[in-house]
Amino acid sequence: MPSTVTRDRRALLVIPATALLLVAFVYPVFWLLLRSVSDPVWGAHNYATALGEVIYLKVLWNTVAISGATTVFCLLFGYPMAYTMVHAGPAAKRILIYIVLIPFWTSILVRTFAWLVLLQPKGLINDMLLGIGLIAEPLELIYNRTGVLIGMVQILLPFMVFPLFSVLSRIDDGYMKAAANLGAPPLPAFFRVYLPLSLPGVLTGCMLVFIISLGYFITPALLGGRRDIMVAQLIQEQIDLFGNWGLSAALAMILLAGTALIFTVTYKVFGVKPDIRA
Amino acid sequence: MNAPDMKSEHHTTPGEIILELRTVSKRFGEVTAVDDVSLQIARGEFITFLGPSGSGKTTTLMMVAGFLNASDGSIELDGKPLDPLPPYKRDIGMVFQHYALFPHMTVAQNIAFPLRMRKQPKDEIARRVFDALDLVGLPEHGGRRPAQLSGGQQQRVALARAMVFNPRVLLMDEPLGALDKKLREQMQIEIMRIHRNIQTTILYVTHDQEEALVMSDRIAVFNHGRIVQVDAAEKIYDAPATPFIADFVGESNFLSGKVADIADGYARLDGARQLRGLCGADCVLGASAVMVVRPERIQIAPDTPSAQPAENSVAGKVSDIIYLGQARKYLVDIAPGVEFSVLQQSGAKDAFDMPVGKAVRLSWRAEDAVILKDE
Repeated sequence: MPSTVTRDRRALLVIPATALLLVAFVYPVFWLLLRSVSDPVWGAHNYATALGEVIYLKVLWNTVAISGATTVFCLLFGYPMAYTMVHAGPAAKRILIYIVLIPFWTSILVRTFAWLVLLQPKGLINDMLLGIGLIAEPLELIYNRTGVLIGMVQILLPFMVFPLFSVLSRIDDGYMKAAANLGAPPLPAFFRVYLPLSLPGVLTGCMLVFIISLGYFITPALLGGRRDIMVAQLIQEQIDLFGNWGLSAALAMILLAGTALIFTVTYKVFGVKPDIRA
Repeated sequence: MNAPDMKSEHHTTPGEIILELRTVSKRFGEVTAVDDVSLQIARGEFITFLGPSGSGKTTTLMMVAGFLNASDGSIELDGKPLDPLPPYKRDIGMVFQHYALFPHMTVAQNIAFPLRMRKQPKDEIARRVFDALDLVGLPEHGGRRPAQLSGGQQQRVALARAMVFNPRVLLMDEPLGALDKKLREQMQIEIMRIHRNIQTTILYVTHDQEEALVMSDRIAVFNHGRIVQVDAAEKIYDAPATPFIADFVGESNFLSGKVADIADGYARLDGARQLRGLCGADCVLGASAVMVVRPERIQIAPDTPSAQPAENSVAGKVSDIIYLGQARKYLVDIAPGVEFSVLQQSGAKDAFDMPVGKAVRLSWRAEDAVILKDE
């Protein structure tokens, strides 16, 4: 049948991407998995180290805590932003979209260095706050958790705003009108109708931000202190300084497993498919 | 519930006024969407806003609901101005064009929503949701999601949700527009039945003149932001106030001329044809006017050369015959560019005597024609 032939031919279209994925992702992951249980000797000792020793556990916890906090702040800033973008007039909407997009188009490295300049004890922000007399001593905005969070939230905000924007713009205006007509004041209408309808966007945004945060390297490395080391930095350090491929591989596998777990749990618990159209 | 014949009382004797629009206008920049609309609506009445799209009917409804503010004039409900109240304090139910059922809630949760917002006790909510589902004929569907229901069922749920809290007025914005013809007719009957049962005041918006004629106690015809006629359905159909209404509500034939004579409530148009009909509201001696005749009021017969010139009698040639099942529609050319439409019941004699091209004579009684000022 001609249609079968067409369908078979069409299947050829997925070959390049699949090939790339196999060579550049599946194979290295498998290789890492192998290294994590075979380097330097066979066994689960690398995992025992990663999950058993306090310093490594601390780093894993840091990673989760920083990623979690970044996600929460991105949501708190991103939701009102996306909401305003959806409900703004066409001109204001375009301006707001560019406000989110332009930093997004700028290199992460550049933005992180920019924060470095801004947040220093003698940086622009401290100078300004001191200048207007709001503070007497420079705030410690850098080489600590605050710096990491400021940098990461700013850099990852678009990943929250755009999925939210996409979902919110598809929420029919009629639902909020109906809610008001049925006697719901603005806040109850928002929490009972609008927010639940926006949940797919919230989930997509949170998952994107959280998962990208988990593997973050440059920003915590430049803006964080010794106590804010994340897994990616640890992996880099282990390989670069100690050539410890086994432990690094185990850490990478733990990160991967954690990510997969988050996907599954989100899907199961909320029963909502994250919005992949974003 | 009171006696079911309450409804008919409302348009015969104008009862207590529940909703009043006083010189209401709405302007969007340069555009005047609603222009100086005044209207009184009686408690328990079923009134329909009928008009083409862009005629201001939906805008007026949105002002009553509180989603738009009037640029001028005021709206009063139960004698109190509505303008300062936000939509959620108006206690006005509304069925939206696309229902706007909350997709993340079950049918029962949707219907319970207005009651929960009014902080009703739980068992009271359960009881009223049950009653409402029963009233719209969906007693088994409380646990479903709106997406699992057919269009007609969603429509019923929207209706149940809009009236479960006993709103002071129920607004319906083209609620049947998304349904197919058969279902629409069924729902019209259903809504009328529910209206009889709960005796609430209904303000219904539609562009479908047939729907308006079937359902309403009174019809307010909108055109260009104004109400051009408010009357009972029969009056709108039989005594349209303007040629626009005659054309928009049902089908009409038009003949134009000048009013040559007015006597005993009848007017005569000038010209070779002896055209005489009821004198409409604006018909003035000497003014240009049109005679309006409904297709079903016209007699059609084969023309005979011996026919004497008579009142309201014109000759023409059949240009088309449209078979409609219960009736047959003849399109008859009576002058260059003037075509008359004549409706004849199927099964009438002579049906086959008048094929396309046949010379025929059309006639109608003077009391079946109305003479209106030309617009």
